[in-house]
Amino acid sequence: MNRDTRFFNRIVEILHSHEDEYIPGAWEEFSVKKTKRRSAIFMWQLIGTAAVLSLFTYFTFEVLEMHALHKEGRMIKRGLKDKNKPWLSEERIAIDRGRKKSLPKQIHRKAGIAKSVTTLLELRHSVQYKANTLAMKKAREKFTKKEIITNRIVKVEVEIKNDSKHGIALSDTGFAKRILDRNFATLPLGNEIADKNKSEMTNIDSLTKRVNPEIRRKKNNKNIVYSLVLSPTLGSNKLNFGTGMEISYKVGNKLSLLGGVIYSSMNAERKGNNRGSGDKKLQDVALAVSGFEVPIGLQYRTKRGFYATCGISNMSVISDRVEYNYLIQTTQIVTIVSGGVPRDIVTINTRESTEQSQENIRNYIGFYTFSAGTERVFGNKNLNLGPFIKIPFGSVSSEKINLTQGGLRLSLAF
Amino acid sequence: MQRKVPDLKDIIDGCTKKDFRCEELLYKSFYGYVSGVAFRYIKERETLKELINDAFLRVFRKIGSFSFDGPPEEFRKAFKGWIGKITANAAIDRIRATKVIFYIDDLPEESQIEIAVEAENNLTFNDVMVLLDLLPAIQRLIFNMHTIDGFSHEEIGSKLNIPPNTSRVYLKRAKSRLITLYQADLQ
Repeated sequence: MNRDTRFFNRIVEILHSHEDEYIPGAWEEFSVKKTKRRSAIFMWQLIGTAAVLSLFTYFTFEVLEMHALHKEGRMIKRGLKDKNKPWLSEERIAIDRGRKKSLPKQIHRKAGIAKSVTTLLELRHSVQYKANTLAMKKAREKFTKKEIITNRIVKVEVEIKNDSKHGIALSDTGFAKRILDRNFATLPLGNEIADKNKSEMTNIDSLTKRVNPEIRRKKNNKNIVYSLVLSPTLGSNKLNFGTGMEISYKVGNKLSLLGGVIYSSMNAERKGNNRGSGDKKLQDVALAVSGFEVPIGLQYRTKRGFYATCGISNMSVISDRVEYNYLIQTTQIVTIVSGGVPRDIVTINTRESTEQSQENIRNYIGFYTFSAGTERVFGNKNLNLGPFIKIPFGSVSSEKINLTQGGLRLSLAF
Repeated sequence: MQRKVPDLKDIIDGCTKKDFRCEELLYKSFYGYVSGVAFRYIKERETLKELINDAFLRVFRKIGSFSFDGPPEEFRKAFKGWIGKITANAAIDRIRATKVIFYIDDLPEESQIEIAVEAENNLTFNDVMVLLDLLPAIQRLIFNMHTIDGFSHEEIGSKLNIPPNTSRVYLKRAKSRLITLYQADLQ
C-alpha cells in the first residue's frame, strides 16, 4: 500500500471515529420538531383522504339521484299509454299539437254523425281525464321535490258542423252546448292537472302550492348556519361526551362546508393480557383524554332531508391520563401444627393496583369523521340527528390504544 | 427487579414500534456521530442543528427498512454506516436546495495556502478538517461523498446532476491537492 493510500485511509479512519459531544437539550428540541412534523403530515394526509371521500360521496349521490329521476320519467310516459287501447295515445298527441286527428274507424261506424261526435267528445274527455288523473298522481309525488310546474295551455276546439245531416246545431241541443263549453276550457297539459271544473282546478292549484306534511323544513336562504352540537359516544365500553358549536357554509345547492369548535372527552382501554412478571399482572391500560376539536368537513344534503358528512378533526389535547391497572397476587404459606401433625395453609391475597404512567402522549390527535342522518323540524328550528363514527389516524401512546369512537350526533341549527 | 439494559437491536426494534424511550436512547447515542458527519458538509451552526434533526427524522422514518445479516460484532458498524449515509444524503439535499455549490475549482496561484500538517500518524480531526476546508467546495463535497461516505461516481452524478466522469475528475483533483498540501509540510 503506497503512502498516498495510507494517508487517505487514515483520513477516513479519523473522520469515522470522530464523534461530537452531545448538547444538552437537543433531544427535547428534536421531540418538539418531530411532533409538529408528524402532526403536519397527518393533517395533510387526513385532508387529502377526506377530500377524496367527499368527492366520491358527492358523485355517488348525484349519479343515484339522476338515475332515480330518469327512471321516474320513463314510468310517467309508460303510465299514459294504455296497451289495450293504443289509439288513445294517438288522440293525446293530437290534442297536444292542436291538430285534428282522423278518427279511428270504430267511432265512425256508430249510428249517426251527431252521436259519433258526442261520443267523440266524451271519448276525448274521458281520455283526457284518465291521462290527467294518472299524471296528477305523478305530479303530487313531484311536489315534494318542489319542481317548478310549467303549463302549456292548449285549446281544444271541436268542429261542429252546423249541418242537420252531419252535425248538431248549436242552438238546438243543450247537451252539445254543455260539451262544447267544457271543451273550450283551457287545459294545462304540461303536468296534466285535472280539468273537470274550475273548482277542481283551484283545488289542484292549492295542491301544487301545498308543502308535503311529512317533511317540513324551514326555508333556509342563509348561506351561513350556526348549530349547537351534542355528541355522546361510546368507545371501549365507556361513555364519552362532546359538545360545541358548528358553522356551516353553503357552497352549492346540496353541498356545505362545515367547521367549528367542539370540546370532547374520550376514554379508551386496551387489555393487558396479563403480561408482566412475577405476581404483578397487567390487566388493562386505560386512557382518558380531553381537549378541543376543530372539525372540518363536507356535507351533502338531499332534498328529502337526509345528509352525509365526511371530514377530519384535529384535537388539541388539554389533559391526558394513562393508567396501568395491575392485579397483584401474593401467596402466603403458613405452617401450623395441629394434633402433632404439621399442616401448610396456603393463603392467596389478591389486590388491584393502579399506576399512572409518566408518558406524555402527543399534543394533537387527528380523526377521520363520518356521519349521516336526517333533519327534522323542532319548533322553529331544525334538528339534525344521526349516527357518526370517529376513527383516529393512528394509535395513541406507546401502548397502542385505539381511540375509535361511535355515537349519536345531535345538532340544533339556528 | 433489575432492568435489562437494551442493546442496539432492542433499541432499533423499539424505534420501529415508535417507542419514545428507544428513540431518545438512539438519538442521544448517535448524536455525536451524526453531528460529525453533518459538520463535514455544513459549517454554519444553526443550519448544522437543523441538518442533524432532519437526519434523525429520516432515520426514524426509515428505521423499519434497516436490516443486517452479517456477524453480530459488525452490527453497530453497519448501523453507523447506514445512519452516516442518511445524514450525508440529508446534507447534500440541503446544499442543493441552497444552491451554494460552485463548480469553479481552479484557484489562482496566490490563493494556495500551505499549512503545517502533522505526519499521518499524528493527524488529528482538526488537522483533517483544516485540510478539507482548503479544498474548493465542489472538490470537498465529492471527496466527502466518495472517499468518506462511500457513494459511487454514478450516485454522485445523479445527486449533483453532473456526469460521472466529471465526478472522477473532481475527486482526482481533490486528492492531488490534499497530497500537495500534506507533502508541502513534510518536505
